[in-house]
Amino acid sequence: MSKTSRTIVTMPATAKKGEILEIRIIVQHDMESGFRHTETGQRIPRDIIRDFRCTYNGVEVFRVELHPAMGANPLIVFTTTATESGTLEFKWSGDNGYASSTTSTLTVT
Amino acid sequence: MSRSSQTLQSNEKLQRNEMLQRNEMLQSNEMLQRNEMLQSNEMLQRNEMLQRNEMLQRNEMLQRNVISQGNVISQGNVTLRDNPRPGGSQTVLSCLLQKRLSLAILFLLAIFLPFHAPSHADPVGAERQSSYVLMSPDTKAMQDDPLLNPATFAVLDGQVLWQEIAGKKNQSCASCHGDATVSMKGVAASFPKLNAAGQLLNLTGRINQCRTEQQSATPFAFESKPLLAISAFVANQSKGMPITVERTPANEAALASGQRLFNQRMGQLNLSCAQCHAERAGQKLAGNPIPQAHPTAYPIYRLEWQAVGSLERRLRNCLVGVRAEPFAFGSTELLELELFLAWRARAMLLESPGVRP
Repeated sequence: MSKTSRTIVTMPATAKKGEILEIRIIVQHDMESGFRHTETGQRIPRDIIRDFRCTYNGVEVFRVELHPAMGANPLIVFTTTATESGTLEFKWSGDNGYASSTTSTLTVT
Repeated sequence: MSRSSQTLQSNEKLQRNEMLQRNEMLQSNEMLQRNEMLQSNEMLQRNEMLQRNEMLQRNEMLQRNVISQGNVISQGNVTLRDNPRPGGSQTVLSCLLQKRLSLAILFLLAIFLPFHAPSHADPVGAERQSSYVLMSPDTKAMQDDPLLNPATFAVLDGQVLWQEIAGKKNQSCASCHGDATVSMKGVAASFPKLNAAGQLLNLTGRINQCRTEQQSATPFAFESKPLLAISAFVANQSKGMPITVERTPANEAALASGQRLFNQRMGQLNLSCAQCHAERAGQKLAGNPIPQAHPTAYPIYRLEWQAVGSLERRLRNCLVGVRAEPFAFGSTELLELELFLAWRARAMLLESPGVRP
């Protein structure tokens, strides 16, 4: 399993001050639960994303803990309030040193 | 005095006996009626079930019916035993008679009542529909929006692999085919087809042929991520285009065997593809709508799989479902079935990569 993977973030590029933004993030990951077995009966070790954080100009605005029951390619939809122009950073981390991150810029008018 | 009292007593006894007998008769009548009612109710229910249960063929249904009739009657006996009454032997006898009679009646009914499951023809032309229309709004939205569709990751992986140099000849797909958005337009819609050597190939088979012959690289394993990624990328170039598989003198034989396989009963459940996906498409199986089985969206991201998978994987799923030993990946049978399905869905629009529940 790769240590990093593809991510897709869907959010508006501009917003009015005080507006509530919907942010949709999807990340490519098998989310191997650790409860499955191979055809020969060997247990497939757990390999999942454990943590997702979103920071808005360095301030954490949203955080998720992920567990084995999450499906593959987890999609997370959340909202935040547009306060100032700047950068939103999205970070995923998980088993076997998995880490992905991406950023989006937001212009607040 | 004593005599008259004796007579009185015996009279009383007689009357009581008479009453008891009458009671017995009434009760046994009542029981018979109840028994009859139970059985007729059961029969009605069974008839209804038979009419609904369209997955089984008539002969099987008749066999089942006879077996379940036995169950019905034993249930009737249990009901009788729950209410103990005098004159048990009489009741048991009448019950046995009743059992025989009702068995005979049910058997005759089973033979003569028109239990035909309505058998519809395979939808053709404009009656055909992609299983997309049967999906929930959420799943539709997932397929429609590439930013939500998890198969987008496979397409993007395929795009990278398209450019990747592989094999002893140091060639990438792009070395020969160039820009996939131009060269691969409509290509996926024309598969499965025969290659120059007369070998039937589906898209993944063609990709692997390129890998071994043009790139001198090891072929990708069936259902491996890179193979699914490239096929998703190539199939995506034909999105919105009609399937162009036609009956030709070259593919006629393979198409005919595909059609035969589609209509052939298989597995312990003894069902053919056609019985569900042609004759009963649009009805429900275990609460889920039965699609017409048009392969318009492959490779698909199936939520049940939590991954992208090929049509072959889906076909093998169905074969396991009817308790048949699934044909091997890349087997002639699967290829012929794929060819028949593609021909059956000819002119329908490709929507790869699809999302399916």
